[in-house]
Amino acid sequence: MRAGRRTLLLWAALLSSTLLASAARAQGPPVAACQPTPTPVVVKPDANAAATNDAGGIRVFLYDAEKKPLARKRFYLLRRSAFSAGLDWASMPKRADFLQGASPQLREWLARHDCDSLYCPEFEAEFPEAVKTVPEFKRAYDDGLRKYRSEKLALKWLTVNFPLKNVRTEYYKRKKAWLDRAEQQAGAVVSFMTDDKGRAIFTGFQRGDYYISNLFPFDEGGPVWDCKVMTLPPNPRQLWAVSYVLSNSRQ
Amino acid sequence: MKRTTLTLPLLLVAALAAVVCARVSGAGGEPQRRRATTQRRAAPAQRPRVDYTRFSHATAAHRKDSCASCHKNPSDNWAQVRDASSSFPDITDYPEHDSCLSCHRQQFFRGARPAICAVCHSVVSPRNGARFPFANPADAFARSEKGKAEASEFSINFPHDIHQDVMARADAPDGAGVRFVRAAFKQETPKPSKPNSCSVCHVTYFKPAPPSAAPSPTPALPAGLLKTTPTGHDSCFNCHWQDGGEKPLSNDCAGCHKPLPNNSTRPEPKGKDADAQFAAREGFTDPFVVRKLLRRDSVIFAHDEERHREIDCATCHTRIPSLNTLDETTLKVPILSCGAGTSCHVGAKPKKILNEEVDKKLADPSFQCTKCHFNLGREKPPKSHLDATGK
Repeated sequence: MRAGRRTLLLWAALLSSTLLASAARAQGPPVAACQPTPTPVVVKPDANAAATNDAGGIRVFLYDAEKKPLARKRFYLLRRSAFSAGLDWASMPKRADFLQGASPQLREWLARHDCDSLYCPEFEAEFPEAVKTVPEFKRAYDDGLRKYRSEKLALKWLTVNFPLKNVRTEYYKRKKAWLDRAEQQAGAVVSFMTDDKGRAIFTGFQRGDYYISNLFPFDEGGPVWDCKVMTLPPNPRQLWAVSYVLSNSRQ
Repeated sequence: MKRTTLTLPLLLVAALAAVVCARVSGAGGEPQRRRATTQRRAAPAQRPRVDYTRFSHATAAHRKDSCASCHKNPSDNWAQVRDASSSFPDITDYPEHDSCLSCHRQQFFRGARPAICAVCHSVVSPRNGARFPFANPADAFARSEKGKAEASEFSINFPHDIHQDVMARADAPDGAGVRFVRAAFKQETPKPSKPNSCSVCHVTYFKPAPPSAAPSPTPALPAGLLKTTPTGHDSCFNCHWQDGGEKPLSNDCAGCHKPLPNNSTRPEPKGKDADAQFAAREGFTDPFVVRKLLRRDSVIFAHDEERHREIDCATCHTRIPSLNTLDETTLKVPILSCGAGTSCHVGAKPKKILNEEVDKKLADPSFQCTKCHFNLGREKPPKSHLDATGK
């Protein structure tokens, strides 16, 4: 009787922990697809492979849901899977949380570009127009003009005098702090960035099995890649034989 | 009675003299040892001679104080040192005398021409206040005689990853966003530019035309070899200005300017693929550009070459997030960037230039690789090249 009760309690504990784990997992972002490509070239066996301590290499192609290459995106080479590293997905900062006090005009203006801070070149190009239409920018411009007595400088240094510091970089700072913690937890080895064709070739790390992830979704509600990858034996000429296609198929 | 009085002191003096002589000659080296000991004891009391004509930030006493205890930001003359269209509040002048006087009063009032004045003043005279140009604006200083002779005591810490993430997004949609123009003496009709956030700071450098058309002993280098790197505060202060900007603020000099280790100055690069004479012969006069040229493994690579212009910066500079301006090895472009993804210069079938030159070099060590290299083309191919070509 006592043994039966113990078994029942054990089953209950197991079930509740499973439920809790899946609930925690459900708070996380959706997972995107990873496709190792077939090795396109013949890999020559390297007799000295085991003896040498050279670095391995991986090539990555990154596409969005429309199969367009995703340019200039940051990825991390991790020692652990992003989804099993115990990341606190629920604490990921959201842009909207940093817009307190912003005027409707500023909110509308910020929504035009997908930027983490006010320092985007895209924004900067629109500053001359923004000082006429967005009250916060007008205030920053007037402040700069009073201090520096130069229209050009007041415009160029607009962000310095921008009144809402939260809007300026706070989201980026919180995101970076979250990413720093996530990198540490998942054992980040190196980070890299895709080029304009969504490609990234990266070398210079110990060979072995790794995970590739963006850790933080590129868009709100967007996916996180968690791709298990491996480097081939240490021979840089085989670099282009190891490719992974990372795509956001949204199936 | 008088004779007796005189004789006694004379005898005493003679006896004393005899004792002294006996001690000096008879007692051997003991007094010499004592003298030597005295000299040895005296030695530490001698201070090393300080050259007050040279100022060093690395001096222990100077390192104790904050930069702002001497440097005023902005300087009073900030609006005068640059033309109106490009001027901005900046540190553009030497510290005031007060910054030095509290410790160096003695040196300030030593002699008719105190040596310490020569740190800032080109003429040491109470009637002439002429000064050397201040180290900022950097490009003007670098062109001056003092600038040519002086090496910096600092290197610059610029974290590419933070700047890349915070301001250099690349998703400018077609027809929107910033349009970058090539900084050239010869402007061409701009092609529709690809999203390229690196151009915020780095544009193609075109050297000025040489003053004379003297024939060069080496084949002409292609135009547009290098990209520029910001050399002044104008790229920084518009975000990091002390009056409300982002940290490190402009009054925290040490946020970016890192003292070089062991009180050293930044060594001039010896030159790898090209040396200083090569740079001079080719008409490179800007010291910042010369430094970049001498740092290169391939002096011939031109960023502005038609096909290179089409390639995204991140395709070759594969480690932009981990670029560290304090560590030149992180700035290196891997050889695989020359063909790993594109097969442009690396490949066995059809045989690409890297494979061809490596084969020739292995067959004949006197062969000189010239596609990418000048000086390094005479050396043995490095492991990276052998690996890339499968040798």
